[in-house]
Amino acid sequence: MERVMEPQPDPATDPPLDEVGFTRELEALRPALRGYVLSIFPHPNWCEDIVQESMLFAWERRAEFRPGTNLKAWLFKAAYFKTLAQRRDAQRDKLVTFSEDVLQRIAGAAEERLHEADHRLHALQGCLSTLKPEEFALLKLKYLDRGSLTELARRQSMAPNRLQKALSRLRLALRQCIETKLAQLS
Amino acid sequence: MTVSPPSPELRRLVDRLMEGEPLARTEMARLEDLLESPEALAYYLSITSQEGLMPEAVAAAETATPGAKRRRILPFRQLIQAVAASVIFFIGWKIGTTGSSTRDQPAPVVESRPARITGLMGVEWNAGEEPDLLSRAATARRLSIRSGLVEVTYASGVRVTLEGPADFTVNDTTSGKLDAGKLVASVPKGAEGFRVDYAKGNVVDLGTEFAMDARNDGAMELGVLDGKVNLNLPGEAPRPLLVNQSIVHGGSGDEPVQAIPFDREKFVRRLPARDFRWDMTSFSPKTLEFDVSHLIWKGSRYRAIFKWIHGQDAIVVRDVALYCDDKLVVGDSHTGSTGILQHVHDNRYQLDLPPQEFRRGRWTIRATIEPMERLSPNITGPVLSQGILQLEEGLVTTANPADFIGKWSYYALGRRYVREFHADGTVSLSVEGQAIPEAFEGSRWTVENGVLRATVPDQAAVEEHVLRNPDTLIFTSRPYDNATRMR
Repeated sequence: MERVMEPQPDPATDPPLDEVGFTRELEALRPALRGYVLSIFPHPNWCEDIVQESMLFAWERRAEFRPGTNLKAWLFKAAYFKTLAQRRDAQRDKLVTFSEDVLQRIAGAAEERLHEADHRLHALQGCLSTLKPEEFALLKLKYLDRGSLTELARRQSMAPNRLQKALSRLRLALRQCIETKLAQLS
Repeated sequence: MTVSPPSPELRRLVDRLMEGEPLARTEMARLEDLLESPEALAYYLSITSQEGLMPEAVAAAETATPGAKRRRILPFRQLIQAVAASVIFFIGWKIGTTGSSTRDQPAPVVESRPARITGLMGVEWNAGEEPDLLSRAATARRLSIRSGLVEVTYASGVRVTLEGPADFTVNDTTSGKLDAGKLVASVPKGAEGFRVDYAKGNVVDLGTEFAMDARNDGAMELGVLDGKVNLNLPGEAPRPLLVNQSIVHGGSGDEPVQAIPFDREKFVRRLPARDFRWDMTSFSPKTLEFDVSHLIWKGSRYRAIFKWIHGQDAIVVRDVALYCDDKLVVGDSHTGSTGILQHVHDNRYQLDLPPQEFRRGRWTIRATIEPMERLSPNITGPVLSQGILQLEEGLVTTANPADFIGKWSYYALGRRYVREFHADGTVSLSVEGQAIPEAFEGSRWTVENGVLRATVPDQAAVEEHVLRNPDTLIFTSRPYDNATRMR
């Protein structure tokens, strides 16, 4: 990662962030961090662990942070290195993933888009409101309940790939909706 | 606007990855080739970012379906569950990592001023000593109170809790002076050396928590709640005191300084909680009772606010009353409701306690609650509604528009929001420093009887706010944390 973001040290006289504020600040970064990790290491089964480890890593070092420290930059950098470590482990297990130079290029491009994360979330929330109840139910099963699509398909006597196709369509439609909203905003 | 669609091949490969299916080496190489194109990379990053945001967005949208309007999810509705989620995350995290407890209250505002008032409870100021709390920062210098509790936080993180009647002066960033009354000083690591002067000496903290009582008879009691302090008397070497040790200086005994048993109970170490949790988990009405003795310090126009925070159900609230030692003192029998914004109606209850009715005793609030009738077929299953009761007095009934004008910072969905009430009656919102101009488009706000009402045009609703103190804004019809005034 060429342009890894650095935390900005602050005067040592500043007191540490209080724990509640720190936790909130950290937790607020979780969705964007998840997207970032997923972009450089597109393997959802590993992603949540990397995100959680990165957040705990930051939490354990909370005493080092001062108000005004660029926590976001620091956290994403920590996640980047945790991802590299996880990637090495996964490759030992024969997982096929991005080469390091592609990973770095993606990381750079992803970082340039980080400032949009809140607008994207807001837009996504608006877009979810346009879905049909059954479409929303499918997203809920996948992202919230983390249920098995295969099991759902079996219960509804349908081929599993039908649900995957439905998810794919939703993914594309939501992307279109989000980008449209962002374009209107700008 | 139409964004360029991905090639079927790119879409298929990305979909497979997002479904957790590994790619073969040749497929991954092909994906890398495709991502050479800026459009393909943009598509890829949009999708991965979207996948990352999805759990929180879906969770929030799932919680609070307003009535039967399933298809119209309203702009801020999604934040609801996330508030609960962040609390759960925080609690779980604290248990798992530190094992200590931290109060969920606004962080002390750290600025260049020596100290600030960060909490007030039931305070009656001595005549002429009321600080101008609406001026920049409510900077604490001399604080003279007849009753109640004041919390002062120094820039160093030292927290002093004063219990009235008391007279305390902030000297500078590292010391204060206690002329009368009780205080508890909590000194965090790094702020050791904090000093409290009193008429005949001073106490220097060595990283700990200690209590002082400057008594009416001129004597001073000092006790160490935790850690170690030095008692310094003119012309004498410092006298160290350790945890649980207590002395009285200038009492009636033969020696000027005498050891006494430490009466921990007589000191208030922290401002007690003023939010009381309630929940509703059955269809049957139930009566709630909350001990609010520590909030009732005087006769005043108290307001009990029922705020919903979590759960699919709204509740109906009635027969809210204030009791002293189990005797009804004042009540408000009107029926109100609380839930998501559209279900909030008259959720503030008027408990005007005349000064002559005030006495020391066990004060409780009782109320009857039951679930609101379910109007939407989408709400099924067990009853669930959870929230808090907030008991307020002072600005809650007297605030005027000028008290609300300005920027207020709060957290929802784990993000930092800033809402600004402009003098021209409009409202604006930003998230993590970025303006969201569409959020309050066309909104207007007004203040009546201390309550701010802001229209939310895109939800055809009105949200309400009151002030707990000049720096704390309460969302009475939203599940968000209290907002803190930004300077």
